[in-house]
Parts: sequence; structure tokens; C-alpha cells
Amino acid sequence: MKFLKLCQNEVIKTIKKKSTKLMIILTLVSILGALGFSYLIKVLNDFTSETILYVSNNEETIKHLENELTDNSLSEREKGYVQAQLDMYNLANENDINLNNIMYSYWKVEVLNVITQEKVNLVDLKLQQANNTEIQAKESLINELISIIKEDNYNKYIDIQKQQEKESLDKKEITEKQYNLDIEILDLMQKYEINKTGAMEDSWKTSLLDEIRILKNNLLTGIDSNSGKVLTVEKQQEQEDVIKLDLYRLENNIPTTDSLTDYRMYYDYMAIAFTSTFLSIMMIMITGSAISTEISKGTIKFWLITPNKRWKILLSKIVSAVLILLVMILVISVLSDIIGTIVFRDNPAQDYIYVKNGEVHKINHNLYTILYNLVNSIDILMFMLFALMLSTVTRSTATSVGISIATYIGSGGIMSLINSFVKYDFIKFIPFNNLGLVDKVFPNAVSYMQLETISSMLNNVSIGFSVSVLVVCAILMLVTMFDSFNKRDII
Amino acid sequence: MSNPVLEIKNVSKYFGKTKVIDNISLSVNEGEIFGFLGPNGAGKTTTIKMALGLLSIDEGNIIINGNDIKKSFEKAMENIGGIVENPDMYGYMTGRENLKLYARLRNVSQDRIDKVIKLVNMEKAADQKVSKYSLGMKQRMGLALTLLHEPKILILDEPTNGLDPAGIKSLRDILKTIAKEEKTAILVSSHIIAEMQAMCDKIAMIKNGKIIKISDIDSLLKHEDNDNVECIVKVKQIEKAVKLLQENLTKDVKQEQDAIILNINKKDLSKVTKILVSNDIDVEEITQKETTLEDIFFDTTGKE
Repeated sequence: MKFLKLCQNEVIKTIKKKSTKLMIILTLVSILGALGFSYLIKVLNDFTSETILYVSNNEETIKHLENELTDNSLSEREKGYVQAQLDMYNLANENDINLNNIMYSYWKVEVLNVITQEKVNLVDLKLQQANNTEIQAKESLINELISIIKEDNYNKYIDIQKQQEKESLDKKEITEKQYNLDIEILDLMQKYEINKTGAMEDSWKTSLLDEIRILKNNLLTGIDSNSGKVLTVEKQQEQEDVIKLDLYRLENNIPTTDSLTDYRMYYDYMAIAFTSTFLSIMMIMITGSAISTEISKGTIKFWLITPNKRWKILLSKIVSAVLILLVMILVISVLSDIIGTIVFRDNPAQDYIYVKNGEVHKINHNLYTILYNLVNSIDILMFMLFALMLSTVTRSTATSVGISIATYIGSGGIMSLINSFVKYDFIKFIPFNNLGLVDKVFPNAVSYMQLETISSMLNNVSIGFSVSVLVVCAILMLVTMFDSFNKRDII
Repeated sequence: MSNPVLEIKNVSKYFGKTKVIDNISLSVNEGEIFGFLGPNGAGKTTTIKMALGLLSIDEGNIIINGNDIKKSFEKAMENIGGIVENPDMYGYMTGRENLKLYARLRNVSQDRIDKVIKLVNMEKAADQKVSKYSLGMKQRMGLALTLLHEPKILILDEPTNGLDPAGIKSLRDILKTIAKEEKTAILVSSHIIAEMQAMCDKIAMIKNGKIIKISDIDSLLKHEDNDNVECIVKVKQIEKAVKLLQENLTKDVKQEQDAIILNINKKDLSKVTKILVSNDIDVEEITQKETTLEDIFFDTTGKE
């Protein structure tokens, strides 16, 4: 009971400080900063796509190619190639496809490329004076492909591909299993209309399908195509989970986390990055001055001559700081979600999805934001303890806050430097390498830029290991500060 | 008379290898204002910090209202209040808010807060930020803080430091009121002798970590006032007068600027006038010098 009152006092003292008030405001305002940032990205994206449209279009290329045709020095074959290209651009022009502006996979462009390739082949065939049936087969294929584009017949495009797979199977170019896999992928493509629009918004589907194709192929061959190593049972399980997640995304139209046009997602990510930075600095300022300022200002004496043991006074400082942290996390999570929902009305936030025991689970986005922030605050807690320990041991606010903030900001860079040079296994015991737990707890979370360079370096470290290293570290810091605070005289 | 509220028993303290407090013992009774007198660096603050539990006690015991600080710290601290060096409070909060912080820990009622504020005459300034207080206001507010829980013993380290004469007087009055009305025992340290003489019932003199003398202030002054008195004589013909007095009365005659100081037995006081007048010396003034605490202090501690 008396201890609770001690904590209450600590909270009041901390909240009434000007520096705390300022940092709370800064932290909350940084949510607006995240909003501005995501808006800036949107403006940049729009600007980029507009400029590309302006830079060149089909007409210019067509003119250029026509000029080339008038050049008499070209051989018959070369002229045939240029003509084939010219035909492609003309066809594209007729069907409103700007070939210079296609950055993302678009089925019509693919077909156009095939047509051009076939025309080039045709030129060669004619020059080689091949038999008529062969030439006619090619011509009819070309005409068929052209008609697909003209009719905008996406399904036929898939059918033709399937047909080609079948031919390959018949010629024994591919195995039965390979054939089945390819057909499966094509079915997925048809089902989710992948590459149908060629729009930036849908490009994530193409990447997903590619990923599914590669992973399924891995599972088929039993070899990781990335590393060239044989898949272990765990890796197999991992890849199966990823496939499940990818299919779930396609099924429910949930863009991947690296989608470029989901500005709400970008905002959520930036909000967490911004607020957690400010919150960390705020909490370091609170704990880094907790003991040292009271000693230098002399106010600690009033508390030490109250009927409370010293360790209780120190503990109350930790408890109250953690309390403030938790409340701030809650406020930030709820506030940033509300702002996000209001500003991005037509872009609702995604729920967090993950695979557990072979099944896809969902966490509601609001709950997920809170959970993510909470796990993320484990890092902040570690730096708080660090600052409080320094504050107790050095009894200098400047030293403890300065060193703690420098460590907080600089540790990522320094650790990634160390990790890239030191190849020994023991670096995984360095506490800093075990921060960023949140990336391990929520592996499917958004991550646009690698703010936490630390965690990405050591993928081989499990959650359990990291937690134990951090717990040992926290206990060491606690023992140091309580020992120092209990034994040393207040002069 | 009454039980001692604060007992310091054979306490010693080392800073590194230096013994800064050497076997100090004293006790303070309820309702008593106890002065702790000594030059700077004598060990007053160190002793007080030990009594408040801020410093560890290397040897001996300190007992507050029957509770040993070392053994039952929390119980001992329930009965103690104190200010060490400066009355430090949180500058960014008002005086009343500071009091409330403290009151929360001591289970003090709102009425008591108001009462204490009134006691130290801070009704007007209680709702101002402490950072705007003058030193005297801070001292008084600090005192209010320590009085909140009606401590049995109040320990004040140099409470008059930096106060103007009016501030010193009002502080003295407050302390006397507390001692009388609330029966609080008060231990006050200071290096200003006059202040102690005006305030304290009992005095301990400390030098180099050792207690040199403990005594009631009345008996201390009376005791020194035994048979010999110092007499100051002002005359026109100084040299002649000195010679006469040395020849006829006592060898202990000093000439100080325009006055003569002699140390004689009380009975011989009348002779001084007689000798001087009968020898045609123009006497301007003969006064008997009062013994002050200062004299006693320097007598006992030796001048430095």
C-alpha cells in the first residue's frame, strides 16, 4: 500500500516535469510526422509515374523505327527484324498500350513480345526457304495471338500457355510433376487475374505468384534454389507456411507488406518508427535523470528519510517508469490507429496474418498495433534500465542520458559493422544483437526500411535465446543499480 | 525528567581511513531544543546525516524513540523529520504540491497540511512554484514539510544559513513554538554562536569529530561567571592608569586601543574606581563584560 503511494508520487513528479510534458507532446505529434511522410511518398509516387508518361511514348519509337526502315544499307533480314518491332509498336498503339511505360508485368506486353519473337523467327524461316506448312503454322499462331490482344481475351492467353505446357509434356521436355506444377500456377494466375491490368497496384500479385512458383518448385525438387542446399524438414515447413500465407493473401486480396501503394500500411509503419524513437528518448530522459537529478538537487533526502527502505524507493522509480511507458504505448497505438482510420478512409488497414500449425490466423489490426508496440517496447525497457543504472552509478544526469541516447541511436550501426566483420558465433551473446525481438515475434510485419539493422543480421538466433540473453542482461543491470543505491552514502 | 527521543551512542564514522566522527554520544529529550555547535568541517552535518539514515553508521548506535536505525529503519524513520543542508524541493511544483507528495507517504490529512502551512506563515505563497521562493520561504516551507507528520524529533542542519535577521527571528519563533506546543525535540546545528545562545536549551560543542562539552545553556553561562570578571575601563590618561592598576591591584591588565581590560575578582571591582579617582584620572566609563557563549566556545575549543 505504502509502495503504491511511492509509485504514485513518482508518476506525479515525472509527469509534472516540463521535459516530460514536452516529450509526450513531441511523441504524439510525431504521429502527424508519419502522416506527412506517407503523404510525401504518395506525392513522389504520383510524380514518378507522371514523368515517365511524359518522357516517351509509342509514337516517338514508331517514328524512329520508320526512319530506320528507309535506311538502304540494312540487309533483308535486318529489315525484317525492324519491321517486326515496328509491327509490335503499331499493335500496341492500336490497343492503348504504352510500351515505354510498362514497369509491371502485363499479359498483353508478354504476348506482344511473343508475337515479335515469332515474327523474327518467321523472317528467318522465310529466308531459309522453309516449307510452307511450317510458315503457315507460324503465321496462324501470330494471327491468333494478335486476335487475343484485340479481343482482350485474358483467358485465352492462359489457355495457350497451358497448351504449350501440354506440348512440352508430350515432347517429354518436362516431367509430369513439373507439368502439374506449371498448370497449377497458371490456374492460380487465371483465378486471381494476375498480370491482367499491368497496374502498379496489382504488381504485388505478380511477385507473390513468382514466390509461390519458386517455393513449390523447391518443395518439388527438395533443393533450395536460393542457397543450392537440400531443404531440411524445418525449412520445408517454413516454405509451406509461406505458400499458405501467399495463397491467403491472393484469396482475400491482402497486398503484401512491401506493396508500394498501400499508404495506410506505410503510415502505420512510420508511426511506429517515429513514436518509438521519441518514446525511447523520453523514457531514457526520465530514467536517466531519476536518481542523479534527485541527488544533485538534494530532493532524494526527503524520500530517504521517509520510513521506506532504499530499495523500495528505487523500485518505485522503475515501476512508475514502466507504468508511464505502458500508458504511452496504449495512447500512441489507439491514437495512431484512429488518425490512420480517419485519414485513410478508402484504404482500410490490414489485419496481421500468420500461419500456425498449418493454419492461417488473423489478428485484428487495432489489437495488433497494440501488441506490436508492446513487444517493440521491450527494447525501450532495456534502454530504460541501462539509463537508470548509469544514473544510479554515475549520479550524473548528463552522463547517463547522453550515453544512453548515444547507445540507443548508435548501437544499430556499430553492431551491424561488428557483425559483418566478426564471424565468430559468440557475437550472438552480445545483448544488442538480441534486441529487436519484435521482428522475430511478428516476422510478417511491415518493414519498408531496415531501421533495426541489428536483428536482420543474426537470423539464426531464436526468440527463446534472445529473451534469455535480455533477461540475464536486465538482471545484471538491476543488481548493479540496487547494490549501488543501497550501499553508497548520500553526501 | 522525560525519555530521550534521540540517542546517539558512541558513534564513529570513517571516510576512507580518516575518522571524521570520533565516539560521539548525546541525547535529546522531548520539547528540548538542542544546539549542535562547531566550526565548519567539525562533523555536524555528518552526524546529522547518520541520524537521518543518509549515511551508514560505522560504529555505535543511533536510537530514535526507542528504535535502532540500523535494525528497524522504517520504524525509526516514522518519528523523524529533518532538513539537511538546504531545504530542497521540486522547483517545478508549488509548495502545496510538494507537501502533498510528502503527505501521501506519511498518511497526513489535508487539515494538517493547512495547519502546518499556517504555522510557518506560508499561507500566501503556498500555491506558488517553489522555484520562485526566496531562501527564507524555502526554509519555512522545508520546515513545514518536515513537520507534516508530527515527528517526535526534528533535525535541522544549519537552518538559518542565508537568512536575513528577520528570517532568523521568525524561524527561531517557529521552532520555539513547536518545541513548546507539539513537544517536539529539536536538534539544530550551526556554526553561528549568537544564534545558538538565543535559541537552544542545551548545547553540544563539537570539534574535529569529537564532542568537547555538553551542557545546559543557563548553567554554562552561569558557571563561567564565577569569581573573576572582565572589566573594561575607559579613561583619558591610559598609560598612567595601566601603571597604577598594575601596581595596586593586579598584573592582569591589558591595553586595547583606547580601553583597558582587566581580569579581577568581583570583590575588587569597587577598588578600581577608588584607585583611579584618587589618582586624579578622568574616568569615562567602567563596564563589566558579559560572558557570552562565544567566549566559552573559544575557551573550550581554543582559538584558531
